Amino acid sequence: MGEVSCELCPRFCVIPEGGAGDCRVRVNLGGKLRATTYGRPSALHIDPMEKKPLYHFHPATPVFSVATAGCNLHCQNCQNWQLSQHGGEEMENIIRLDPPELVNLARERGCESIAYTYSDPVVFYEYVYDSAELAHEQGLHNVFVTAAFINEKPLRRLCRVLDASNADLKAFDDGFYRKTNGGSLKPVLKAMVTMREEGVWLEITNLLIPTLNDDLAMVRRMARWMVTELGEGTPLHFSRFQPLYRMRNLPPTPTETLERARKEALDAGLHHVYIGNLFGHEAESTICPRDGTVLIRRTGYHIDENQLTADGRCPVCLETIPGVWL
Amino acid sequence: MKLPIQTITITRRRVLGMLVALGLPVPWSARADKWSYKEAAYYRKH
Repeated sequence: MGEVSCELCPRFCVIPEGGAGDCRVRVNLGGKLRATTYGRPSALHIDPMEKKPLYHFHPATPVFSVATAGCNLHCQNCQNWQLSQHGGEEMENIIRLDPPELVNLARERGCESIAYTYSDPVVFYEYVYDSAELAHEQGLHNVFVTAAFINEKPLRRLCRVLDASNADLKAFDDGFYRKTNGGSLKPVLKAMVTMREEGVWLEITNLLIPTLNDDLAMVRRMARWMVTELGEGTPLHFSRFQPLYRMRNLPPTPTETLERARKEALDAGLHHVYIGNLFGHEAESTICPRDGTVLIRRTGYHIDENQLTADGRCPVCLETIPGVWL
Repeated sequence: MKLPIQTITITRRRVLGMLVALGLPVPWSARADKWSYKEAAYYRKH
């Protein structure tokens, strides 16, 4: 009696009265599903756009980042587990910040964009949607940093108010998703294609974990899929794993593994493949795929030099570099 | 004596879990200042 089915993400949680979904924050109260963290963020910060990471979207601009408790995945290596693997009732810090206040605060702090990030913003969907709609009205951009574990219908609606997304592709293997993240691969791939179809600027992150998802044959399959389904110009960020949360038994990803994966992805046809979480590596920079000119030289999140023309071209060969540059 | 936060959290979750198991209402309203009651999108009543 009084059960509801949440249809936001591929889990399709059936939630009894008084209970919460797998995400811990969508709660059945009196037979109605409530988004209990709507307007109740637990993390606010101003980050550089490069931290999302988004390298081809408004470079070197500050982005107001917001997150609530909860997540619909349970990654054993989560780097924000204090936030994502708890319900709102467990959070020490919850502040009231409804969408108009959030947008005003972002503007007051001089940010051109708002990022819904840290935990997975899928679980605070309504807060994202209302805030993003208001942000657009006031000339701000919206960035969705997600694991893309969301159903098609709500995602298509959300895409109307999104400008860019960095989506995590945790591995190109369903078994890995089930074992390490408590999710599944197919809906993630579908969501990425949907964002592409809806015109959201998309960059993909793949965290390489030693021995678990660093197989080069899998990397090749993933890169080929990206070329075919998302386009060769879609940036791919290989990110270095650090032992965290429930996965402290594995070492950080060796530099050579990241470099080999990058070469594999470039050979598969992707044009912009980066290495992240490895401060000072040359693969943090954007390189012209046609003539090899270094277009944006980065050190960590800092841009040392930007040679792109105003309309996003290589100054030497005039190759257009995909992205949203202004 | 001050209990560690983790102990309080686990105890609170167990109490809430017992209330759910017994079919009793969970006192979300006790934390009305912390919670939003915004109705979620994309769900279906049984």
